[in-house]
Amino acid sequence: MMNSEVDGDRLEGYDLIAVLMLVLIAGLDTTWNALSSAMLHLATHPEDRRRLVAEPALIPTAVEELLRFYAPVVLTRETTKDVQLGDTTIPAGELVLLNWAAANRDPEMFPDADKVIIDRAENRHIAFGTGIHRCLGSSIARLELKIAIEEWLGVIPEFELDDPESVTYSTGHIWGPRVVDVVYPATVAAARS
Amino acid sequence: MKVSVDPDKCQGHGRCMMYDTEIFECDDLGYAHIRGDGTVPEADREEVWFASLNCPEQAITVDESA
Ligand code: HEM
Ligand code: SF4
Repeated sequence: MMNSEVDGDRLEGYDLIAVLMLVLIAGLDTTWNALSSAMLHLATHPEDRRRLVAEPALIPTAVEELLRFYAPVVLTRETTKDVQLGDTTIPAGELVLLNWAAANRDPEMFPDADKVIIDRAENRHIAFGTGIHRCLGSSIARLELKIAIEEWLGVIPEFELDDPESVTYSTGHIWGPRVVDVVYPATVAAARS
Repeated sequence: MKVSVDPDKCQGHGRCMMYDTEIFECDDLGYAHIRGDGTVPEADREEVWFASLNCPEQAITVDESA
């Protein structure tokens, strides 16, 4: 990034530091919240977990569905001019919450929108936003989630939630379970040591 | 069957390329382009449909009649 050039322009000085900070911060809480939601789901849905163990080729499709359903990021925009949306006018200078998570549950777009269907083949979700500011890190985020789930299930195919009461959530514009304590059978532990 | 990508809509999410790299390729900035003239061989039909149905920007158009 420090050496790249677009149309003859380079990032320098404060701009470079700002972009590096953004990439760093945007890639941390987002991915761990997405991953902890995925783990919580797999810990509490043995039928989905066992299917992914039996059919690992489904993991990328499952990652998209978990991103749709547990969409970890909701951000804001500021209107630069008056915007007419249906019957409502949003005046210039207002903060608008972009609830991609709600769009991902639109029943007109997603049949059985409130269900996790891990082999959902038609899944135009917008957990990474849309338009020019769509997530810059979506490809690496997808890869991280896929690898993490593949590797975990390869070693620990059977596990469940230890204590549902212990799950606490991070809130704010990046959302997900903070703590997901799981237990797995002694046979798995023995095979590892 | 023919397929095209609208360059004004594509934001380079890359989901099409997850389905079919025979048909979709990306430029240096990550935006999608169609290889060749957009004619879809029989073997790629299903993948191309899935690419269009999963593109978050609705940038991919499939023409069954062509
Ligand atoms: C599952 C993980 C992630 C999710 C759900 C996610 C989601 C999002 C969303 C919804 C946006 C806002 C899009 C918009 O404003 O229209 C965004 C922006 C951004 N994301 Fe991610 N993100 C994730 C991981 C990452 C990673 C790993 C990186 C970096 C390596 C990253 C870097 C960025 C950057 C730089 C932006 C700002 C782009 C801009 O404003 O032009 N994200 N992300
Ligand atoms: S999925 Fe859509 S937005 Fe993404 S690269 Fe392909 S055509 Fe472009």
